[in-house]
Amino acid sequence: MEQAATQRTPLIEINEARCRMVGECYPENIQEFSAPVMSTLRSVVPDAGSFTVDLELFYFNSSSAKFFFDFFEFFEEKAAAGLAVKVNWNYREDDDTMLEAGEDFGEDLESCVFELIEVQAPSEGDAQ
Amino acid sequence: MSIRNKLLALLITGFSVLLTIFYVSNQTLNNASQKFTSDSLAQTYSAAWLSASDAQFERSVEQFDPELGAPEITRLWDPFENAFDDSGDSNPLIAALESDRPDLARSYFDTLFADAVDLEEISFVMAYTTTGRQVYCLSGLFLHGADPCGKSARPDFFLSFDSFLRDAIQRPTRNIVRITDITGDKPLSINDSLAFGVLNADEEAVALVVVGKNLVDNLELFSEDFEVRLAVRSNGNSISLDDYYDDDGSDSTEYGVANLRKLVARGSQMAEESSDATFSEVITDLGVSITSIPLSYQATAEEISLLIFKDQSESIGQQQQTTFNTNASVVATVIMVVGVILGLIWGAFGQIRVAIDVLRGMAQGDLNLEMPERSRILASDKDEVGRLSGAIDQYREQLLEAEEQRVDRSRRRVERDNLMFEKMEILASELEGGAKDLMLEDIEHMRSEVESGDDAAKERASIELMGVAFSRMSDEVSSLINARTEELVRTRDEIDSSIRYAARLQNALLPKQYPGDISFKVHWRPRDLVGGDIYFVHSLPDRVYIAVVDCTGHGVPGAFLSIIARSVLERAIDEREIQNAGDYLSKAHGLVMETLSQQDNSNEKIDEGFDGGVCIYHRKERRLEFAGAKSSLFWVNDKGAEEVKGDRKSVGSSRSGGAFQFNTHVIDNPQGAFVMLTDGITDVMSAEDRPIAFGRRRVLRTLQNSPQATPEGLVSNVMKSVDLYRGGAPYRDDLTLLAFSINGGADEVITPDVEEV
Repeated sequence: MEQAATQRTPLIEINEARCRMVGECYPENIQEFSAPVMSTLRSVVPDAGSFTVDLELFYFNSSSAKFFFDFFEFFEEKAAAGLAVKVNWNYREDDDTMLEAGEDFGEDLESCVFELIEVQAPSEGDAQ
Repeated sequence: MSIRNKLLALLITGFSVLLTIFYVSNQTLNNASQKFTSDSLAQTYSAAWLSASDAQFERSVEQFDPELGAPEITRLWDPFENAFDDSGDSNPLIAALESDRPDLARSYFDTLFADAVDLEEISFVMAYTTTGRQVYCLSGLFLHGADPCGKSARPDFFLSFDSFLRDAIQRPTRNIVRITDITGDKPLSINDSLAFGVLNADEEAVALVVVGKNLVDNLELFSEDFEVRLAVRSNGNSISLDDYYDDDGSDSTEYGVANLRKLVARGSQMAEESSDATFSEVITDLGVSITSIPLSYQATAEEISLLIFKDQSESIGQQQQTTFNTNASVVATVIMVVGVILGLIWGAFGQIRVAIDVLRGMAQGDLNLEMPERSRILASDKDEVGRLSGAIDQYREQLLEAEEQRVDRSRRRVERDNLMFEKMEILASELEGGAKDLMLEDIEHMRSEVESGDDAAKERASIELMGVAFSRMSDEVSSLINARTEELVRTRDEIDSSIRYAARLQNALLPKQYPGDISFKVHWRPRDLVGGDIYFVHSLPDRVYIAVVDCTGHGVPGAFLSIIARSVLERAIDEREIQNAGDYLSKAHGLVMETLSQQDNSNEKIDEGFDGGVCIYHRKERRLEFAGAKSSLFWVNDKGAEEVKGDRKSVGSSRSGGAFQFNTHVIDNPQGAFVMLTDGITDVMSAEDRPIAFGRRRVLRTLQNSPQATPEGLVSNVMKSVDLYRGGAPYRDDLTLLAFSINGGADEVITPDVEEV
């Protein structure tokens, strides 16, 4: 799955080895945004082996926050079942909101490897 | 004059000049070469003749020279020797001459000369006394011309006998002696002769002897050797060898030379006219060259010269043939070159004329004309005419294509016009009265317009038709739109007024009164007219509840939820029991779960609820308690600003668990000011491509840097920072910013100070 960023939704790339999101997330209807992402993940992410989740978010609203809980819950279950999941939470050095959001999500994760990564330069994939 | 004719004229003129130059120079060259040939011919003849006659002279006459002659003869002239007989020591011949005894002398002369004359070694011998009397004369039997010893013979030296004698006595002298027959019966006799005196012992001349050899033999030899015919020209008279023979020879064509008499006359004339007696000329019409050379060193050429006639018909023929060949080949070459050039010019200009016709035809619209195929030799697609031809064909193809396009355009225009008429007719059928008549009139008028005139006129008419059709249709459509718009505006106004009414209702839920011992300043701003943010102040005698909450969603759904939230916040207050902030928020959580899940029969998670913070100020204890659901309390005092963080759970979220217990944060004897806010503040994004949220840290910094730690000062400062940070970017969410400070005064009620947007 590959979906370019919009004003209200991030860039999304999902394949068998990696899931990547860059940008902002505050869709008008969170259901419309989240359903295809979750169904893709369910069909694509393998049960064994390794998988990387790269996230670099600038903003998400409270509805999206609930989506991300589901998102991480999915990977937590996968990791518990034997998939080696590595989550990279990228945040800009100035962005304490995203840092804290990352900390929040990270606290709930036990089976996944979670890393907070401070980025300074724009990351390789442009969200725009 | 066309360019073709100019070129032709130029070509012909040019070649004429070239030919003329060629002819003149060729002629000059020929003359020069002829002159050279003639001169060398004259010199050759001259050298040959003179050496031949010298040789004969030595062989014949000179042997009698008293000084240079043969020794047995010179002895006979010696006065001191008698070489004749035994009659004494003195020379008997000289003695006989001295004693004037010609009769005696004659026998001695005979001894001397008779054999030579008989053998024709010499032609004659004459002896004279010094007074001019002939004492001896002997001539041969076979003579040519006048007999020297005849009675009618007149030797030329008679005319100047004295000087002749003087010269001869002085030393032996070689002469040409011409002897004329005064009767005219015999032709002139021309002789190479030696004259000398006979000297006695006293060196005195006693007689003059002239020994001669007729030149005819020599001339005949020469004639044979050189295959020429000859004539001698002497003192204006000419004499040919033929004159010495009986047949007059006028019909002879010996050595290819005919008409000798005529030639001799011509030669004589030329000799008279010529300044030089030595000359040679080819008489082309007679086929003969006439050459004149001196007959002898001893006589001038004016006096006597030899005319040589040589048949030149062969070399003249050859020369004429060569000249003809040269001229013919030059002319043929010129004609061929001119012909080829003419052909090229003709061909090229013919093609150009065809091209002109084709172009003219095309200009008049005849596109069927084509350039003819060029199949001739030397014709190529690469030459000028070929390229012209190619360009014209290309142009023609473009015209054809343009014509095709024009036809296609015209066809499409007709289709378009028909569509227009069809649509206008449909429109007309829907109209009534005057409008319908006007439309039908338009249709009829435009029909006649688009069907008359040329292409351009039709095109103009068609465009006009489109304009008219569009104008009519847009008139109708705009009246239709006007009607629809009115309807839409009415609907919109209705919705707007509903929402405005909802906003008034939501506003009514906000606190209208504040307790007098606490100062408040609130900035409340739903993103739309209504929103999910709400704040709440409830004062009991012993405590005051202050809450700022952000319900999930915004706009109308948020507003609905905010009503529930407000109701829950009110219901969660336990007026009789001591209630801390955590308990209070936990209770609210339970109530929300209860309220919303009871109404939903499905098993789906319900995540609706709110984030927010609650403060309870216990007046008597002067204690401020805080509990937060994903919210913080900011405290600004003398020491600066600090953040009191709430729990990371939302109220009403099933994730928080049905019986989640929120923590209570306690601040005793609270000094300074306190700030509560919703994420509408912290989530304000910078106006960049990759924006960063304002965040709690910036809130904290702004609060720290605020000069006045009063509710008004803090609210105004934070909003200023937020607006600055946001730049031109729009608000994304409802936002609420509430600041309060506890004054510790009487429990009085004051009017609210709320910024409502």
